[in-house]
Amino acid sequence: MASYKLLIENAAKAEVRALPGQVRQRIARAILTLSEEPQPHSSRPLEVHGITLEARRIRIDRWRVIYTVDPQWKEIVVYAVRKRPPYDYADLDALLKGTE
Amino acid sequence: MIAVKAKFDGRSIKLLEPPPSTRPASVIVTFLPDEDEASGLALKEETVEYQTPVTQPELADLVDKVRLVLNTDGRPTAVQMDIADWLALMDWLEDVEDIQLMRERFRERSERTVTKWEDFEAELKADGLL
Repeated sequence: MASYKLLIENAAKAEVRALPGQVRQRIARAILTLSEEPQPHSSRPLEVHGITLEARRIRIDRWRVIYTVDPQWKEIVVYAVRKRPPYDYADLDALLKGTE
Repeated sequence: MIAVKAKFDGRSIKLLEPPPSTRPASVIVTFLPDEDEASGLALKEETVEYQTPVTQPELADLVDKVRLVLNTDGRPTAVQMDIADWLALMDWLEDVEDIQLMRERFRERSERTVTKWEDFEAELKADGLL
């Protein structure tokens, strides 16, 4: 299978930089692996309306990587690297009232 | 889009409509104010909109299974829930957050906001971060 081209959103770059050292290494390796296997078993699709590309999430311990897969252009874009709960839900109101 | 009305009666949150049999892409939950304003337990009317892969029957199950801890006056002071339900709720919140974040960042995406992974990797290595 041909490798996918890997891209990362600038906002996600800051999130990767902010990760603890060992976690950053693991996340980086996991992202690199996506270029050969964009839909690993440990990932799951996200139902994001208004996006034609397949959005997915993969978990690495307490972190998760959110990305899209474009099979036509063989391209993967990493959009976010987030920590799993428990974490601060100070933005819960905004979260639940999310705009379309 | 499915709209659902719910009511907080001071003891629990009840959905006022039967859950749909189909899996909704998005649901609006409206909490209606308690008729007994004097109880001080009424919630303001509020519409919460979210997109979630969690089906409404699952959501209804979650809120129905919450146990309230009452004080000596019979007023609810805390809630208890099974750890499995709590984890399911956390999964749901995680989905909501990821979907919203994905939409925002996808909307703002342009060629200027993305970097080739190998370039970023080189940046990290140059900065001693990888």
